[in-house]
Amino acid sequence: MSSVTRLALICGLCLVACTRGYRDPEDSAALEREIEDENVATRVRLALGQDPVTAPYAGISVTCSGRVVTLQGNVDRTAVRHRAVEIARASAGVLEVRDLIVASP
Amino acid sequence: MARAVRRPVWKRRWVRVLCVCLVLWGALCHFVVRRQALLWLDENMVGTARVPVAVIWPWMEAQAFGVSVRAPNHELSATRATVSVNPFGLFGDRPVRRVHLYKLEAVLKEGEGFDLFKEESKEQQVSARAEANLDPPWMPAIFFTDPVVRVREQSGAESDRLSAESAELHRHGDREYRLTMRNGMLRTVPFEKLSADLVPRAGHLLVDRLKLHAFDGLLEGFLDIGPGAESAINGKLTARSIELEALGRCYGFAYAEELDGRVEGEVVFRGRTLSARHLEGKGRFKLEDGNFVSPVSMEVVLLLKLPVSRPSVFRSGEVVVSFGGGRLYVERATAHGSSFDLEGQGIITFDGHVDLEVTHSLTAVSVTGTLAEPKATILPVHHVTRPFERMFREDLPK
Repeated sequence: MSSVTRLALICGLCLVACTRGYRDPEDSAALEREIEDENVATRVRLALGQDPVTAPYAGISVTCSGRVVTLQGNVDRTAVRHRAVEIARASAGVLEVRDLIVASP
Repeated sequence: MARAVRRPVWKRRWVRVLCVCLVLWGALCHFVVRRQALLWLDENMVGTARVPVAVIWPWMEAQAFGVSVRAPNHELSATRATVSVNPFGLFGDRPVRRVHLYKLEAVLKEGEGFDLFKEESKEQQVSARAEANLDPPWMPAIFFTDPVVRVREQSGAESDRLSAESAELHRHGDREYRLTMRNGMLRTVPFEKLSADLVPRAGHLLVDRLKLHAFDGLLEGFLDIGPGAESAINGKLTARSIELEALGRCYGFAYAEELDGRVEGEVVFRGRTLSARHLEGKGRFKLEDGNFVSPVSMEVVLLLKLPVSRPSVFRSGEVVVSFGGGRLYVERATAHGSSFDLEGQGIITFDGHVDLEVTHSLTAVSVTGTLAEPKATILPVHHVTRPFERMFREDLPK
C-alpha cells in the first residue's frame, strides 16, 4: 500500500469520526453565551418587575447581547427611566446598559 | 259598629306573594346551579363546566368553581383551560378569581395517535402550566387550589403526573405572587416542596427564587416563560446536593443500591416550548466522594479488564453536557476510580440510545446500544486517528 493511499485512508477514518456528531465543549460555547444573554435579560426583567417604581411600567422591553443590556420603551417620568437603568446596571451579569427609554410626560 | 277583625300576618295577601316569590327565587337558584354543573362540549371540543360546592340560597352564597376547557378541533397544542374560583358562589357579574391554565400538553410514548379525552390512551405525560395572573388582579388573592391532572393509563388505573397534596398561591407585594406546593409530582420529578415567586410582566411569567426540594437535595433557579402557545422559555437551574442514590431509586437505575454521593451542578436552557424535545442548553455536573457505577461504565471496565473494586467503581467524576433536538451531547466526561481514570464523549438520545467513545490511556472503546444494555468494542486505530480528528474538526461545519 503506497503512502498516499495510507494517508487517504487515515484521512477518511478521521472524517468518519468527525461526522459522528460528537461535540466538544467549545462547540456549544456559543449556545451557552446566547442562553446566558437571555438569562441576563430575564434577571433584569425580574428586577424591574419587583421594584415598586418600575413595576407598573411593563412596556419597558429588555434585550441582551454580549451581556450588554438594551432598555427600550416609553415612560412618563424621567425618574422611572433613571431607576430602570440603575436596576439594570445592578443586575448580575450585566456588562453595560444601553438606555433607549423615552421619558415623555 | 262592629270592629274589623285584624287578620294574622300569614293570611295577608302581600305576605303570601312574598313567600311565593321567595320559593320561586330559591327554585330558580337551584335550577341555575344544576344547569351550571353540566359540562358542555360542542363539535369543536369547546367545553364548559361550572360546579357549585354547595347549594346556593339567595341569602347564603357558597363557594363555587368553574372549569372551561377549549380544545378547538382536537388540537392539543391549542388546548386552553380556565379555572375560575368564586368565593361568593354565583357566576355572573360578580368578581371571579381566575387562573388561566394553558399549554396543556400530552405526549404518547408508544407511537399511537391519542386523545386527551380518551380513557383508553396509553402511557401519557401530561403537563399543565398555570399563568399566574389573577383576574381581576387587585383581588386579595389568598386561596387554595389543587392542580391535579389525572391521566388514565392503559390499565385504567389513575395516576397523578402533576399533582400536589396542597398548593397555595398567595399575593406577595404589588404584582407578585408566591406559589408553594407540597408533596407532589412535577412530570416525573417527585418533590417534597416546590416554592417560587411569580412575577407576571408584559405577557411573560417570570419565576424567581424557584426552589424544588427533591432527591434529598435542592434545585433552585429562575425561569422566564413567554406568552402564547409557542412560548419561549429560558432559565437557569442549580443542583445542590442531589442524592445520587435517591435519583437511582426513583428512576430505577441499574446498580441503584450501589450509588452514593451528592451531585452538584448547574444547567442553562431555553426552548420554544416546555417539552423536553424542544429544549436546548448546557450543563455541568460533578460528583465528589461518592460511588458511581452504571451498565455503560461496567461494560467498559470489563472489556478493558481494569482492576475493579466494586461497589466503588468510581469515586468522583465530572460531566459537561449540552442538549437539543432530543439528544444529550456528552461533551466531556471524566470518571476517577481508585486505580484508573476514564474519559468519554458522545451522544445519548432521550429514549436511551447511546453512541459513546470512552478512552483509557491510549485505548478507546466505542459504546453503542442502550443505557440499560450497552455494547462495547475496542477501537484499534483511535490513537492514530484522534490527533487528525481534532485537526479536522476545526475545518468542518458544525
